[in-house]
Amino acid sequence: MVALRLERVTKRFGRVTAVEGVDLEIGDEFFALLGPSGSGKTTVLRMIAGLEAPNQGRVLIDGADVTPLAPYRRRIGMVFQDFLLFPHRTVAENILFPLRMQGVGAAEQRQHLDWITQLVRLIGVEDRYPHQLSGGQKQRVALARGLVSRPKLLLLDEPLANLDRELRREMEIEIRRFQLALGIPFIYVTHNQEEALTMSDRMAVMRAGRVEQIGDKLDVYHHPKTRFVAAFVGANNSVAGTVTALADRLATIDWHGHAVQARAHAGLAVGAQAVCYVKSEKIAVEAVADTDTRTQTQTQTDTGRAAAAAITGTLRDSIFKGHYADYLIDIGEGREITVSGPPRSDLFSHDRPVVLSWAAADADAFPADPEPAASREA
Amino acid sequence: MIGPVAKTLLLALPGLSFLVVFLFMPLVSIVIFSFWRTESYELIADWNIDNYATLFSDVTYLTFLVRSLVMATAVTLTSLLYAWPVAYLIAKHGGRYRLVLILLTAAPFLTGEILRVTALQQILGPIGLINMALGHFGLAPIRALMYSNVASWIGLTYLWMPFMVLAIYLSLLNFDFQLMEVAKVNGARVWRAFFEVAWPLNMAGTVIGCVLVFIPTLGSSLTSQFLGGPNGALYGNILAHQFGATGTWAFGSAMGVLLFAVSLAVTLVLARAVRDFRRAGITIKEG
Amino acid sequence: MRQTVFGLQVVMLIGLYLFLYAPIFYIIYVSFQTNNIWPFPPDFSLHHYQSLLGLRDFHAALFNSVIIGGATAVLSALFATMAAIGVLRYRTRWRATVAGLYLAPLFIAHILIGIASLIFNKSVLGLPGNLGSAVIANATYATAFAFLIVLAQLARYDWRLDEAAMVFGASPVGTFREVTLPLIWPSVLGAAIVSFLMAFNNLEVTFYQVGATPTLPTLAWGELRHGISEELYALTSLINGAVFLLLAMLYGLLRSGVLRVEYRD
Repeated sequence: MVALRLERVTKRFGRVTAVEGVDLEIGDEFFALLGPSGSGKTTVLRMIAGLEAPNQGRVLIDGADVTPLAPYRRRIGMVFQDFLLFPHRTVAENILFPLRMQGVGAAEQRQHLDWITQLVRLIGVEDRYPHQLSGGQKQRVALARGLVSRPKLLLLDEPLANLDRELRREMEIEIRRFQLALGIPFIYVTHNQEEALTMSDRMAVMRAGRVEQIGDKLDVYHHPKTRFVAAFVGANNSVAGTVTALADRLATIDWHGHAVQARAHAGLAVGAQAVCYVKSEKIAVEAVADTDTRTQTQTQTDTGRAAAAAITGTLRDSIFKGHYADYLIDIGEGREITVSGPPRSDLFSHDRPVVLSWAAADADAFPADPEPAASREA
Repeated sequence: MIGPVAKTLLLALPGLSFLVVFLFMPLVSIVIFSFWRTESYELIADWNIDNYATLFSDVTYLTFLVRSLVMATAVTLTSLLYAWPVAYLIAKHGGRYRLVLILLTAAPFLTGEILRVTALQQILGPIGLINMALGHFGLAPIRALMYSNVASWIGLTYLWMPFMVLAIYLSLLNFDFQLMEVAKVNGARVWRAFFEVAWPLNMAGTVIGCVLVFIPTLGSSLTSQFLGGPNGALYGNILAHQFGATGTWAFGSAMGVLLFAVSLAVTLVLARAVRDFRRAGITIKEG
Repeated sequence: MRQTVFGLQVVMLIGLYLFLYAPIFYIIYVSFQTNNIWPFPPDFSLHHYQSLLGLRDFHAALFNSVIIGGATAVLSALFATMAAIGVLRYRTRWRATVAGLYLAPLFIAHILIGIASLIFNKSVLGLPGNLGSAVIANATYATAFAFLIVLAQLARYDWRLDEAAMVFGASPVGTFREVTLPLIWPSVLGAAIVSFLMAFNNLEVTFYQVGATPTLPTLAWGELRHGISEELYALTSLINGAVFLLLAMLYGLLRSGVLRVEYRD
């Protein structure tokens, strides 16, 4: 069932087009809107809330066109960045604000308060003021206020951006739990792909006011459809070169004498420039003896598949992160590749010659020119 | 649905129309009337430049103007020199008493000019505390305090220095005092650090303070009337006179226009000090 | 060196307070003495206050000044609050212009406001000088001061709180009543108090508007021309007392937390 539908929604601020022709259909699911700052994701959320009016297009909630409705007539819940609790109201007053605005009776307000404080585990602080709460408690109050009136959908605008890392992990799981408990659509805006991947069922990646790709989160992660998504989602490495062969949906790219294979995407042509992206955890790395350094080898990967590419390089540094490690490998020509994998004792000595390889199906090749590469998220 | 520009203008409109009708239009009207003449307390629309001719040819008026300019400069400089250390102290070391300390410097301002001059006269005048005390101990009174330009200077500083303190204080509130530490760690001595960092970064506040002291002092009449004595009349007194006994409104208008022009010129000259906003401690927030 | 500079600053601050308050405290002291000229040793008396109450026009002047102050406060606080919201709530390119126009009166000498209003009212609008024209003339510069005060406080207000209220079902009026006003009224009150006091005590603008109608400052001016009269001791003391009482009340409210001035938690 479609709870929310956006039809060709466009928003301009003066000469700047913040959102252009966005179509979305969201059911009773956890939906993430992921994008870098300035991609228009928050504007999309604000148009759903009614805080901005689209220049073109329609917003439909449960099939009803709400485009002309003011925010206070839409009956939706929202959790804001920085919480935005009313500083002159107690926790209980903050939580009950939406019910009071709807003219709900006192007894019913009490019931809702009991229910929601239990759901978000916020008991015993009802009479405190926001400035007396910890960051986590404020977050829970903000969530309780968003959910107390059992809205048709909940919008979340980077709600975890100002929490420390530990608390963020905890709240990610909690928020996911609330969505499963209530079964209403949660629309979650974030620039943090980890949050989006952790919490959502489906996600949309936005760039420059447009939706680049929309789909199941695993699909978006493993099968990027555009060069931007390939560069933005996940920890990525890229090599650029000339396409030497195109066959069977596979492209072969020449990178300084190495033949690199990857899935071919639209717009590639033999002889044209291409960029090939591969996620750092999909690269296999093997230490080799010094004498092998400059010879191209055809190795076997762990899974036994024929490697689509093999590049030699020098291990510059290993960054131990506990349950995994990042290996920084200099492959010459000023390029450095990051490989993530289990910590290995044989890869902790610097300046070792290594061989990198990955399966063709794990790499994606896009035409080099039309779109500038996105800066990777830290 | 109306746009944000319309909302801003709509909210500003009542006050703006009020200011236009009751402040800006009256100010424009005195420019017009300054080219008229007055006949038996009535303004006559007889266009001429006689008022300005008199104003610029009669050395008396220019003398008063120069005296007011000197007085305003002296008062502004005194206030500036005194206000900076005080404002700096309150802003940096005031802690939780900052607000009360600064309010105490500003509070007397609200009792109004006439009552403040009255209180001051009880200290400075011939029967004031200082000279009475001197006489009581058999000492000669200090003549400079009684009905003199010095008394006016003290009085005007008393009246307007709070503005300077307030302006510099407000500017210092947004000043990061750690920058002074940075300058010192990098080898600047106390005064060098002050003039390299604190002074330029609070230039805008300082200039606003100077203008807020200079302008009312330049146009002042009450203080000199009651503290200045027979030789202490300032430009403001002569201007006020045109609207009192003589009733020469057209000439008074010309005097007012000249006062306004001089104030504006001084403001513009001072504002040149903050031509580059980024170097004067003003950060313009984007968005 | 550092200690010396700090010591000098402290001495200068104390010097400033002495300079500002010695005349005020001395005149209050004298107002309770029999001898105005050399009131030592003290000889307590209330006769200055008795002569003030007996002064013809005193009650009328007090009443007129309260009217001028009160009406000016209402006008200025209203104009200033609306404009400050307009400037800060909607970040348009007009806001610098609007703010500049509202602050312009700060840079105009009071005597100019006084004479320009006098001439304009009489010669262009044909209005006689009365309390109404005094309110109008005082409200010009008072609006600028009020605007500055409200603007300084409101700059810290987080307007997204209003958006939050709207999303949770509050209409624009409801939002203003439930969220905006409860959070900003201390600054509005502060602006109104300052405007009241400035207009109440103003002479240089009021003088040219009221004609023969007495106000406390014009009364004081008339008295002061013949030296400090007995009534003036009492009047100066009373007004100073009232001003400080009012400011102390406002400060107490701010400190006790009845009025909250911090909006962001």
